[in-house]
Amino acid sequence: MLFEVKICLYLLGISLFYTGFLGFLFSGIDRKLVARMQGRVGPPIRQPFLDFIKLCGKEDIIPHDATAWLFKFAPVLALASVITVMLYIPVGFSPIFAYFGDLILILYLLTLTSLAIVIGASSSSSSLFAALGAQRELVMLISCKVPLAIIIFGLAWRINPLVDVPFSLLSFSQVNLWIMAGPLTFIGVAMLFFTFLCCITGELSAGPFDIAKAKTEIAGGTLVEYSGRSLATFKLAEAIKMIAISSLAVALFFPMPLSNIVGIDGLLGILLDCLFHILKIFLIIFVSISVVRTVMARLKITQAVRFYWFVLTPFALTGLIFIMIEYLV
Amino acid sequence: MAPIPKLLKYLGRSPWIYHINTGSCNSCDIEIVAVLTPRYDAERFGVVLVESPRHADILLVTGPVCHQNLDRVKRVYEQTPDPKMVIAVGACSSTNGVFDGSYCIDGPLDDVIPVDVYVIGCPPRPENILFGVVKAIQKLNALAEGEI
Ligand code: SF4
Repeated sequence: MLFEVKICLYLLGISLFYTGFLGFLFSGIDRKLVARMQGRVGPPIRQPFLDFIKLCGKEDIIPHDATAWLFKFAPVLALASVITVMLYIPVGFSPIFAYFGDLILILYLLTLTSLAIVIGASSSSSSLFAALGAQRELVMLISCKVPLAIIIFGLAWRINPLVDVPFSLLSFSQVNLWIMAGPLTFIGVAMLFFTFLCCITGELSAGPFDIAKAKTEIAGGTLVEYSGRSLATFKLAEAIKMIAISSLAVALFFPMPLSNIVGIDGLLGILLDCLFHILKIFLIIFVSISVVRTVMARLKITQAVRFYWFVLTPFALTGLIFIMIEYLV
Repeated sequence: MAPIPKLLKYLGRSPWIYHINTGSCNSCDIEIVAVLTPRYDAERFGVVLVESPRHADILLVTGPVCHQNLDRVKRVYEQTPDPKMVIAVGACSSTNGVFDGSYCIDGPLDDVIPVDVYVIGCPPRPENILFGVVKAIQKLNALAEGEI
């Protein structure tokens, strides 16, 4: 038993280092790209690492009226939930806990990250700005999760007759969604994929959906009272969440590995798959975060909810109906 | 000031800035915004204008400290985590400038909180503000290496 615990801890450590590294690398690339698109030189790509190291060394202030243990616990909870998510999502090679969790667990854990931010911000920091940010974070949460749930349940329903366990991510690597039926299915899957890209933007509160952390209106919202090491932990959790959710998109829609096609296996094949996976998440992050962040201004919270519920949800349902028609008729 | 941990070796490479207006005429503030535009692009040095004093390393203060602002300036200073630098931007916050002798001000800034760098000009040019930030970073680095 003790041995297994030890192995789990090692795996968690590896997951933390690999995904944390990727997360900061991609946020650095994202910042650089946004700067280039705005005609600026931009910070060096290693900037998020430097920020993280600096924040770890700064003074960690707990506000006078805060509930201290909850305030310190929330960032740890956020980080723990995203690291756990990464154990279930393939990052080039099959995930460490491939045979345990399923998509619903992943959805839960992704929600837990946002909830940790809400707990830390609203219930314990006793700041008004943070409470306002927490409310907006919750509203964003319920508006993003509806289309996301439609996508996941719809796809799981569609591949149900083709595989044994429809809610497992491994099943999605066994079928090719795009060419499993005729052209109508292809269009439907493309619509669902577009919806997923929009959900990524909202889940990570980037660009137009940067509502809970609005700099100019509510002074940083949820993270307003955090400083030093706790803030660094939150930044790390957010960077890993970016990797987690874009890896989820890759695992659902483009799970095809490169090594089978090229015909290399063994360690070299795994390495090749990892690099190919990094390329895929780079493309997804570029489209759904960097470009959107450059060209769009922040929306109001009501506009964001309207977009997710009354535009994106019917859009996803239409895509689902396309898939259904071809399957049932 | 508390001793500076080793981790802060990179403090000079990611200075986060918080901007306080203590009753300035708004020209200085506009010049600070100009520093962040593509022309001067302070972000290439890792400078980010943050939204809360809790995240800040450097405080940019503009304006003579008018009476209404006295409490707020002190509180924002205390809310900023150590180690921190304060830059007085503009003639007003350095010397009271054109407002000198007015009944409603408690400035200049160094009567209220410790100031590390003075940037003069009315308003100072963006280059000058960037130069002040670089000076503050140099002082931070010197502090981190224990030279001061
Ligand atoms: S220094 Fe000059 S420009 Fe700046 S706030 Fe004072 S009067 Fe305005």
